[in-house]
Amino acid sequence: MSIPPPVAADLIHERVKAVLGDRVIAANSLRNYLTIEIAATDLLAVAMALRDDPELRFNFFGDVTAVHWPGESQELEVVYHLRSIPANRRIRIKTRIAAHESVESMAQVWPGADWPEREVYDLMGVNFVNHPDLRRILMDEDYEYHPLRKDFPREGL
Amino acid sequence: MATVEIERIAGEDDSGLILNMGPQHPSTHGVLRVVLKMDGEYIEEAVPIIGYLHRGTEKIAESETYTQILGYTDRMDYTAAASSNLGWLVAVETLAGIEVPERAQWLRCIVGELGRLAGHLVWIGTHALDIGAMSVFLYAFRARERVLELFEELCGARMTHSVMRPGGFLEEPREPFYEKLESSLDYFIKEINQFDKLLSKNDLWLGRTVDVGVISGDDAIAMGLSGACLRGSGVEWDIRKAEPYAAYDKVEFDIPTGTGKGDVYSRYLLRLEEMRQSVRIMRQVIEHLPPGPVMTDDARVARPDTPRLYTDMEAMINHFWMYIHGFPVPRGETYVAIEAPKGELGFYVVSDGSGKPYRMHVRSPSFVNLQSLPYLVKGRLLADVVSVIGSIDIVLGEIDR
Repeated sequence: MSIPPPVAADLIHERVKAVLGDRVIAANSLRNYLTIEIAATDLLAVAMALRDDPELRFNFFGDVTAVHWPGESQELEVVYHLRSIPANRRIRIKTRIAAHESVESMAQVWPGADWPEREVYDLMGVNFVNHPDLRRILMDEDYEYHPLRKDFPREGL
Repeated sequence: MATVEIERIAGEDDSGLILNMGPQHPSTHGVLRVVLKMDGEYIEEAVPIIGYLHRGTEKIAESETYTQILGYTDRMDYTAAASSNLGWLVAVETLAGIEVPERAQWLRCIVGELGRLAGHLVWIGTHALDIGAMSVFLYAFRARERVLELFEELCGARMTHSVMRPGGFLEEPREPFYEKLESSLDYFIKEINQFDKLLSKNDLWLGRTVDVGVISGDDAIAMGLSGACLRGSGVEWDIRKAEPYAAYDKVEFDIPTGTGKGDVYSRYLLRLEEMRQSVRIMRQVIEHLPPGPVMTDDARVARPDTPRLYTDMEAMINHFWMYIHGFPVPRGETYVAIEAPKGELGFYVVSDGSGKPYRMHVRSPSFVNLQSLPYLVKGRLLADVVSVIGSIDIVLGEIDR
């Protein structure tokens, strides 16, 4: 099982568009990295589709993180980085939620999302529903804040 | 931190023994704590507890310039600081669109592989010590000393060196570095062969590692394992080949997969071979190193020449501006992954157009790999926890960030 050559970017783009249809709100491939934006409610369906499609097979959960944009109505941007080992391609999925909303846990699709999601919950305060064990991971369990949010001061606490 | 954990896994009937391992246990390689629920000598449940070394690197990064953050990446995987440096620089250069000169790209392979060698030598030393092979520890640290001396020759620092900069290298390595490197390569091979002789067919070693901590290739992918933990299960995957950075597309090397069985022994065997491949890469780089500058002439990141700095006012202003405010990086985002000694090290950077990142996130390989520990040790003996932790090859500085 040697490393496959990367499937042409255009083919992957076409296929992603065909599989996901109008669930894709926006897409770009700046810096040769396919990025799609979707609604938070579609997340689980999109993840399943990307993992199970025989041509795409995004089988490797790379990373999840969040970016805080205070002052906007949907202030938390959750960013996933997936990888397809068979197609040797990566994809970035972005979705926006308000601070009180939650997203589906990707640990239902890729078990490897367990700890990365706990980290995002801990430091950014994103709530993942249906996560097997959503607890703080880096900070103390009785800690009250989410330090990576922009309204958390960088000194004096 | 762990009282809740202990109550939770003890359950209501309070049966079984709860054993606390760490955070000061020597075999946990730092400050990892594992709470174990035991049934006699067998493990029913293992819960790793981390965060004792959390320094908030991602938060700090938001108030530092791109060049300053380089110093923080050293302190993530401190056994192989060069790899963390490289990952961060590739991410910044991708986002800013900085071209790195050819010679610097090749030199980065040397620095990256020396880092891998240093990381793997610490790994084999501590891993063998955990299992009881004291002499291997001493030999491994003697060999690592040679790597650190090479780093000292290269830039003056031994462990946290930050020798690279956005755009290339600060300056050309001095001649003795190349001589010393060339004369050290045979020594490294000799040392690696010695570990091989001491351990690979050693009955005690085989008993502690073969069929311990087994994970299949599909499970390893699903769990997000990367690096040696993924390759040990027979999945041939290496980011240096899949998405080449630096000059890895121009050198030849193999991707070892050990025995492919996904046990501790397989991961051990392939890391030994990886060290040999590192030496092979360095040999090729020395042979093919192209001439030329080691720093880009892109005025955004290149320091003005010293004579100009003292005679030309604009050059001095540029110099001050660059070091106080940092260089502006265009608005946007990027995720770049490299093959660090521990696995896929990824940096996600979001820029708002200023000299400091709006958000910086690290996908650290040890963090993701460690989450497989409960799976790997479930139902095994207590002593196997030690060899499994050693074979995942964790660095707490990188896990807790």
